Amino acid sequence: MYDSDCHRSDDDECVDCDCSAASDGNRIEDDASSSNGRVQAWIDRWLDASDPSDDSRPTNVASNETPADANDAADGQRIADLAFLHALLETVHQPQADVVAQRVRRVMSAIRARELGPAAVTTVDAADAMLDLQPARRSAAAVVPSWVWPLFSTAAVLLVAAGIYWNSGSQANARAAILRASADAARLADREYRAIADFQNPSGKITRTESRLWVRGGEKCVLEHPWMGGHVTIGNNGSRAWFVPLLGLPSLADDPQQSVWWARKAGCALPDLTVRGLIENLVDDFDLELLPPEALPEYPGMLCQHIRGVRRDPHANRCQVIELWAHPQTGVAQHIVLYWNRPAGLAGPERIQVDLIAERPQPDVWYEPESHPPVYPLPLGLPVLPNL
Amino acid sequence: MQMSSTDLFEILVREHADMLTVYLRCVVRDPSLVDDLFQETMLTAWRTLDRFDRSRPFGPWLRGIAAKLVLAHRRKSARAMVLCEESFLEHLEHRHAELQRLPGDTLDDKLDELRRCLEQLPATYRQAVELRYNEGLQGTSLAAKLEISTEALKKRLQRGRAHLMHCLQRKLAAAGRPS
Repeated sequence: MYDSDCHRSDDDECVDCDCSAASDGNRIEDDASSSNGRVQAWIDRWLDASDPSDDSRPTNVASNETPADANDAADGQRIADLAFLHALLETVHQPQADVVAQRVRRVMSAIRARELGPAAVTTVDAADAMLDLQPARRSAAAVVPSWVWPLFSTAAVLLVAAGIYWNSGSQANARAAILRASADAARLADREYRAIADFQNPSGKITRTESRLWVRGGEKCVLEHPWMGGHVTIGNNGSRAWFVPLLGLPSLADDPQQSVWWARKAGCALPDLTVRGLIENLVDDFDLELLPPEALPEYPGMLCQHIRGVRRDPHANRCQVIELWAHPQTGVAQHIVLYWNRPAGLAGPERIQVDLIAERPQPDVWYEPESHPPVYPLPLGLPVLPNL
Repeated sequence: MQMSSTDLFEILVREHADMLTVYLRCVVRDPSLVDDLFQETMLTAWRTLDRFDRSRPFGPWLRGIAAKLVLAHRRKSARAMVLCEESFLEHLEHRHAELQRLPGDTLDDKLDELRRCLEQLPATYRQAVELRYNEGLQGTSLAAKLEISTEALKKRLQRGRAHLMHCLQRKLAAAGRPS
């Protein structure tokens, strides 16, 4: 057992005592009585610094701000041992299985994308970085080396110069094409899409609706969706979601994901309101296949990259197949079709087709509710009705 | 079914991800820098896989790459590092090699030895250590919870860690001895 002095002592009384004998009789160095108090203080500050950005935290021992005493090899080893123990204790008490799995996924995505060849690597690296570093605690810039960004900005030029590397049927190539399309969808360009949705009624009858979708990058969007003879408008300005009803005042929400929920409530079955989000769905949950290039009726002279994703785990209420046609050089999503393959008699969305209509700049305010007044403005003096 | 080299590498990555994470957390406090270094290490390993001597274990080679990257990051990220002297990193590698020899297939299995050390820790120290690591309490809030002064808390944590390290060292040394 431990030294009897130590057992008897309350810590407050034992601050300066040496209570450090182990059961096997070997002496444990008591940090309280360490000859190197300055090193110990430095270790304490480092181990228990809660905020990594705190300027008062100790720095590299090699720098001038660290204790000169730590140059002693024994101190260096003691620090290493404590850092080792500290990391193990953190792992024991706060396992980070999800974080580690995410790191592995990010690494393997980057490696699989690299199999395409150097021209595509640049684009896919950046796309991977953006896809996988979505969690709010990190910025993409923190992970992607600075040299990637200039390369990323010229990736389209490189791809044109290098040509597109085709290998039909390759999952890796399909994935790379998807990542490229996603990276393009994250560009801050304003694009307008038309979404045509076919809904199956319980009787088997199909009802068709047509919506308009404007997107800028991976976050800002505006959806104009038909509703009771008029339309509702749902948007996301990058930090807040908003909803403009048919009649009444707009609603705002701090959670950008609220826009998807409002869209569902209004009867829009799109899994995401940004093209980038639609494409990202493909990466995680679908088996991808790169099909032979195909020309779209709207662009007869252009052979688009054609990727099909089939959901790995079939789910009745989720789309089972997504097909994407992307521009062969730029990777811009030209045409997306989502299929539900719904059994007869089961009501719900059956097919949604999303087509690129135009790419033209919109003012920033376009992604704010002020630019989208309700179809039936509320006459002054009337009470506000609840939305939807 | 024949596996591609990428699939085989993914198995290695998954197998060593936990250990590499611990290694990087020993050196770096900033979680985002741990992420960066983890990714850089694995990508460098993949790019230079042809230089890996297959007769030797993969873990130390991976940590060797990580150590070089840590040293390379030292200047620009000095504030986030605990210490990047080569001797420090060498000692850290020595500890990880010992940890690797502990019984168990996964890192979690190997950490059972540390869990046993925690169980043997006197209650006073164990309480402080568990509150510190389990609930993330620190400084004055942890001292208030234990109803002791911050100085006394510091001592409890120091002594708790010293006892744990001593216990772990004995287990690491025992695992290294030929049976």
